[in-house]
Amino acid sequence: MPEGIAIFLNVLWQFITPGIIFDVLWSTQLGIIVGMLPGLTATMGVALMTTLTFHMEPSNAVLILVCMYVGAIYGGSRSAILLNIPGTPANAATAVDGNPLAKKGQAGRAIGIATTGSFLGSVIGMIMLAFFTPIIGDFALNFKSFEFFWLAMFGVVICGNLTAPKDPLKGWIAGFLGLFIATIGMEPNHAYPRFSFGSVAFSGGIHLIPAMVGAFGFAEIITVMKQPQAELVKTRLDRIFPRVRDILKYWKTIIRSGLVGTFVGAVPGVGEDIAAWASYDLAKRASKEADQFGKGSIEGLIASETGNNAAVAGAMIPVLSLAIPGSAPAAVLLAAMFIHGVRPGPLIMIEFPDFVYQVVAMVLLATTAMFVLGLSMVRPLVKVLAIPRQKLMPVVFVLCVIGSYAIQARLFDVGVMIVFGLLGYAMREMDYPIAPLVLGIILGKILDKNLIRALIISEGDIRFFFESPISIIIATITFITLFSKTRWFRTSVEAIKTLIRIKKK
Amino acid sequence: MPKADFLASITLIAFGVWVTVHAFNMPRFKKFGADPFSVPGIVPGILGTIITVLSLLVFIRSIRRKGYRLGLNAAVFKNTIQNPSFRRMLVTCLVCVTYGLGMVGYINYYLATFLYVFAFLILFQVDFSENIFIQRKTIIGSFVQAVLISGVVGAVFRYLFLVDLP
Repeated sequence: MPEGIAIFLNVLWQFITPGIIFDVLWSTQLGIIVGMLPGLTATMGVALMTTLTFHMEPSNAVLILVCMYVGAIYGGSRSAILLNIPGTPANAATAVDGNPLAKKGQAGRAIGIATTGSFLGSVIGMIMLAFFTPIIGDFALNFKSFEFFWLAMFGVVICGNLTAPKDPLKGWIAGFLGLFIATIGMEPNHAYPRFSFGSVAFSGGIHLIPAMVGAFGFAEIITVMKQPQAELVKTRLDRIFPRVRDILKYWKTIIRSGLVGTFVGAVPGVGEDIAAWASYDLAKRASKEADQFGKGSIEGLIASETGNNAAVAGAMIPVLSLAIPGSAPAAVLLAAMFIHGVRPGPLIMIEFPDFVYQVVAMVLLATTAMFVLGLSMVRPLVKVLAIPRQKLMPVVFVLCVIGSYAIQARLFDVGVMIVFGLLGYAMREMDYPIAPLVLGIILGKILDKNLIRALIISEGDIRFFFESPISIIIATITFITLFSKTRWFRTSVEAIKTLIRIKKK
Repeated sequence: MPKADFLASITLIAFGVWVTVHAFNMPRFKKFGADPFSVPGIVPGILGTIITVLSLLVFIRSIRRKGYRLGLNAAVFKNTIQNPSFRRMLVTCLVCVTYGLGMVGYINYYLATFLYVFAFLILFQVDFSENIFIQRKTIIGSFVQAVLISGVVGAVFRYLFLVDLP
């Protein structure tokens, strides 16, 4: 660990140059603007920025993407507070208490608290990122094909479960569809083009970035244009800098939300929105002022904003240690790292030992910039929210088209973006979550490669899939997640509980 | 939602069966001595089967909730088409798909982008039931915005990010 701190400080010192500070400031500010505009999500911002930065030096490009990610997740709180529309899905819980505060004439106070909560959440997440990534990476070195197969299955199942809590079946279908999409194109063992129908473009497979730009960008444009225009809350901006007592009073909530946010963020594919709701829900349960939640509670606002920004760093833990994203923007970040020649995964501490600490330093710089810009650029940025959607959305779509095209200079990718946009919109309308679909596209390659390898090693003997303790643990959690929603499972659990109660008596 | 689930599950079952059958018919490279567990169709086949089974569960549930009673008639269609939200959605899809699939790559990028942005702005900002002449400021503003967006985006990607425009 002391060696890690030394590497971190060294990397941080190397980052303190005028050029890099300038990059940090503009990309974080752009992230805040992207996040605060309904219709522009963090995923879309990071995906579009990936297309713009792929000519840059790897560390610079990843730094800009991290700043965009941190800024966008925070920026969404502005529209949540002032418009009652979360700028990104991660800020939905923020709107519950942020908007009532704005309506009471305390918009400035709400923005200040949201900024501080985001900052502290991000710092907690960053500490966890620095601490856990090397440990998980070392542990994952023991993973073989069987473990990676189960990890991919677990990712899709848990993501489906958590992003569609009312109807996990739809979440799982979306996840398995994503896994299937990943199998399109040339397979690695015999170079056979699957589901290509003679098309050279399909033989190359479905690239993640255009698919995500479509599913999160174009689908969002259609959704925003369908909805009626939102009204900006007419309120004066009072004192923005937060009062220290407001923050100190809720220190337990901040630490709890930071830890919960990081943990939820680290679960594959789940993301910042669930992290914010989980933190909010736990804060409400533990609060002495639970009746104030939903009416402009400072504690509720702090909990949701601390939770969602902690999840940003949390989502990077599995990205770096297992090459499995914790959220949709982290998935784009993972793809961008591969584009720039960095290979995250269990070997990262061997192949790129400094990179983990570089990412930690990037998160720290982005978080600091977010805090400074968040408290100092409030009034001019509120004007951005007044831009009518019909003026903004065509610009966004133009960027979606050129961004999808720019990565490989293929018109096919523009088609992919549009098809995934329409698919994503249809899925939203029918309550199918998009996150498992995207996670499936990423995990599909891991599942495909490791399932075939595992079947060859075991000669088709299923028992090998349940041989190692890690496989047994991941498989058990996967099956419990799958069956926990069935009636017979719940009846069995109730029966066991009753039996235990009778025995105790 | 049961109606939508009913229709979506039928589509997904058909899709899952198609994937499974297609995967089953993929070559097995026996004459090259390939390991039977390394054949190209094995993973898509398993995934197709899982998608079919899960979709079948949604289908059964939608039947139980009487989702098969679609109640489609002329009045429903008329109401849907007259709904302003549906119209906005349809116009957005049409304009964007036309630009992305029908214009980019086929005509000059700057011209395609200008036409798309101008059409989008006019369709959503101009009230066609009112006198167009009264709204000339909106039309001129849309024209200027379309020129600026197509010029700036094209130039930034071409000369700053060195992308060969489609």
